[in-house]
Amino acid sequence: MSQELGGLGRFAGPATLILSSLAEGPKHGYAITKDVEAFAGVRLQPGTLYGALSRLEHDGLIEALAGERRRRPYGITPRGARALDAQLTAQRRVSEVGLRRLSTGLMTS
Amino acid sequence: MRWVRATPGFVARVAERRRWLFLSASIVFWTLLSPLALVWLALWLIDRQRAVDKSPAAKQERRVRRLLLWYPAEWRARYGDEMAATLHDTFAEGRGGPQLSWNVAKEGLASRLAPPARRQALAAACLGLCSIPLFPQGLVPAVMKLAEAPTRSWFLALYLPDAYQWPLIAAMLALGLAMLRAGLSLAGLRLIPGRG
Repeated sequence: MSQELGGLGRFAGPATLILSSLAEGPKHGYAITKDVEAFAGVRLQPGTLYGALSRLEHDGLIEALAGERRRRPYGITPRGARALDAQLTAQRRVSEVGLRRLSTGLMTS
Repeated sequence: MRWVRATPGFVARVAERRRWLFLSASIVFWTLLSPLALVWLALWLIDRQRAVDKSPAAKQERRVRRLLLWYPAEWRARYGDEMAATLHDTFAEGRGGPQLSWNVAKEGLASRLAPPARRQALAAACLGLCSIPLFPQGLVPAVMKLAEAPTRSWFLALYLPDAYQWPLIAAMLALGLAMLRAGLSLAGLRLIPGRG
């Protein structure tokens, strides 16, 4: 797990989903929920969403952009993009190794 | 007055009169005033309940406000409006089950317990105080016991019966190390780099 996102503790999972969603472009809270549900099949509850958003903003990985107060959009910062890149690269390594071992080892037994 | 008993002294007479006053006031209160007060209270409550807006929109708005109460005021000032909008959207979608209430309550309380400032203060307290169980209540009495020094000073362990001295020293050392570790991890540092 990358150093930066690993430091988020229990928010590391939701943070990866939120940053992946914002990598495409700025979105407000509910739009993030819908997007994450569409591409990952995970429904972020409002409490979890805003807990992770406030942590990410506090850590400087995302920033609040100018916009309507009730639909404030959030954008990913360069630091957030780097953290997401490191996190996803680490996850890809794990999934590649895991999938390869599954197909060669366990599946035959 | 007949009911004033022929006791000597002014004090006793006053006491007797007070008792009568109290008795008559009680009768008036319990038979007249308190039933009236209860009826008035019931009417007031019914009135108030009738005045409450029962439309689904108003009910939803009240539920959102109630849910946001789990969060501390400064958090609400920053994120309250947008989270309220998100909650409204979630309800509009028909996704407002007890699961959602539970999630919001849990996260709200968590954000009360661990805002960065409080976390930092806790880290500072742990790091600042961990040396007390570690050194004067742990290491120093251990050394003094090994050296069989006669003084006890303020080393708690040395005042206990012999059998409990080593266990207390060990417990103090463990407490000190636990505080050190908690303080470091709260401050975002690690005791052993690259672990945890």
